[in-house]
Amino acid sequence: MLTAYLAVPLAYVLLAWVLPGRWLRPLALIVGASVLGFAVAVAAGVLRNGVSTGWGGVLRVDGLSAVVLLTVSVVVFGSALHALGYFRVERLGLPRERSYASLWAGFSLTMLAVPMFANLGVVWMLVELTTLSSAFLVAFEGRPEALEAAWKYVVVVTVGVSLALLGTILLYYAAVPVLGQVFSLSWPLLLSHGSELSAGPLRLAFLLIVIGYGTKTGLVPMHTWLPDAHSEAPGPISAMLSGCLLNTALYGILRVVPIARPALGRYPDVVLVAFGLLSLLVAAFSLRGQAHMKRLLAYSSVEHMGIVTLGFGLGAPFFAFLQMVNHTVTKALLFFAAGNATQATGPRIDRARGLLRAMPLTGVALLVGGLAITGAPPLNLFPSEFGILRAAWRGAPWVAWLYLVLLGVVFVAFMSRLTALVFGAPEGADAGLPAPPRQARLGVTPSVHGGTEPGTGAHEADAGAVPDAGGASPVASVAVVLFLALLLVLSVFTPHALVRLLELGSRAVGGGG
Amino acid sequence: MSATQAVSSLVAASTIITALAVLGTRYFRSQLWAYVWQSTILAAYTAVVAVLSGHTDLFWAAGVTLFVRGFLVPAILLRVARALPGRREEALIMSTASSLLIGVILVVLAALVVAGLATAAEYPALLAGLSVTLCGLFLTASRPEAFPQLLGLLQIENGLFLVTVGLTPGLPLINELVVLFDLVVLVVVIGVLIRLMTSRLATGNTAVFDRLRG
Repeated sequence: MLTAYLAVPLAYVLLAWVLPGRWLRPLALIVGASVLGFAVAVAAGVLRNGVSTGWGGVLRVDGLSAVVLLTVSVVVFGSALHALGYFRVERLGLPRERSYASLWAGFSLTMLAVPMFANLGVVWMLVELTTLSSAFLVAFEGRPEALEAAWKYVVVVTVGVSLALLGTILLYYAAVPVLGQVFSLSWPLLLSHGSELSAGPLRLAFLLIVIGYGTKTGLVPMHTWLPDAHSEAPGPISAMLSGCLLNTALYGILRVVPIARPALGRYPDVVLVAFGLLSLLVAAFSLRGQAHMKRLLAYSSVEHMGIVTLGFGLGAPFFAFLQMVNHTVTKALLFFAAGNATQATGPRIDRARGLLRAMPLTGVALLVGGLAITGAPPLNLFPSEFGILRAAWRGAPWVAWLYLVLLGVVFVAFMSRLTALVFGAPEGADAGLPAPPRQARLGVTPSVHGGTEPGTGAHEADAGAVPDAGGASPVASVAVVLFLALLLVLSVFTPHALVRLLELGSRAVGGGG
Repeated sequence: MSATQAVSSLVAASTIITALAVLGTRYFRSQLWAYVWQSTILAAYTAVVAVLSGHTDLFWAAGVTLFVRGFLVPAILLRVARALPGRREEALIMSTASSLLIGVILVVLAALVVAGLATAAEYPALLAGLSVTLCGLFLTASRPEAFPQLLGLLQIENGLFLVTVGLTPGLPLINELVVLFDLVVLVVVIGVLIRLMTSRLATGNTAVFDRLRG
């Protein structure tokens, strides 16, 4: 089962180069759907047996892995759907679409493999490969800014992740007195000897692993690459970067937390709380004054990874997982909707107004997603953020106060930007300029906007057309509708099976009660 | 002083010299050769540790290291360097003398840190590993051009390998192999990115990257 799970995207990596062009998109959808199917099947298997193994123990999926696999697979499927709309608008030609398709599948493959392998050395390699496979996707649109973002991404993250390698080596070193000179660097083995590891090297190892994988998770102060890469990547890829890449990087940390806890006591939790709070703090204030829609969303991801990390550190792993899952769904929705909006308006929020009238579905999706991502009740992120607040209250009230204030800052900063975009009066229509209908209705003043933004030409070509619900093409709105529905369902109730899976994951990470 | 310690002290000194040599020059070719020497010394050291410690896995690690770090990666780098437009020396923001000085300070810093951590037997390899890592980190952070930044990343990996061999000689071969595989992919990806930069922006200088802020 796990073999097939990995084989499907692997096959598509190769097939993308040889298939007839018209099969490319349908097959990507099939790959996405089957990846999602496998994720559900693996999760079901883990719920039945507690663990699912493959290749004689080389692959090992427990509750923690299954949760991460599920979040990755949902977004992989969503990005395949959303890419249909993206390519409908961008019209890049077959060779570039082939390279996109192959890289997309490769990126998905590496992300799916990370939580499956038991050997922590291999996990390290796979995390590094997720960077390398996504670098060209970040640079895909070829603008100088995109190249800049890709370069920063590769250099900063590679430096960071090599610290995680040093941490992994030190983890091995910490186990040498117990397990002898030669043993396998697999997490089940280390976990079973957790209390016997030597504390000195382990302390340093844990810190290096948090800094290393934390660079990739977007924890402050190692987050500098994140807003650039997430905003310059094509829409479907931004959703994957924010929605699931960050989770796979965090997985690298979460795997080591229960290994380090028995010997180090509260130390791992203190480190997690410190990085979580710092990320939340810096992200909350960086959200203010972000004119670029996707940068706004990127900083919001830094904020949410901070909250998730905080949740694990405070001993509320269940709510941290719940937050992770809901953040994935909500952020993917927001990036899909933002992708459609920016393909129509250009990337700068401060110039676009009145999205709700011009693109009702995209406007509603951004509004609901925005409310959800800022933790407004009764939407899906409220229960988990509240759960983490309660955990903070039990542990350290000052953390709870700080957390609450910062969430307020986030809400104001995020919603003030978003409401201007969604509700604001379209300036162009008032001015009565002889602009093309869509641009006027979106309130983008042609003299400001015209020709400066890439991709404008494609829209002017069909500017006379009546803007449809989802933006450029109805296909583009399918992913938005689906994720909006998923968000609303998760707001109303969390399926019992998912709750049980999150509980399994919580037990794997441990902490708290 | 035992034979083991004599060998590892010699190795430590010579790898630190190569790391400083990269910081002290602005010629791509000289930097590349310093890296080749560093990798060769690493491979030789790995072989010696294999003999002395009896971990036969390390013979394989030494061979593969020599091939990948000493030959394959430099060969790819040479192609990348040839594709760079025009010049054979890099633009700098800090003179080579100042970066050399900072490199020396980093080595002293590494010595202070390691002194508190390691036993006498582990000291030289750990010191050299940390020094090379820090020098690589500094190279990546301080040079505006893409090529030396890449070389800095590769030196970080070399330093970590030295730490691995010195500290945990029993680490199964698979872990060395995955790191080497990763290294090759890294060099290829960054090489292509540098190509893209030179073809789109007509420069290998990342100082032009100043558009994304805040």
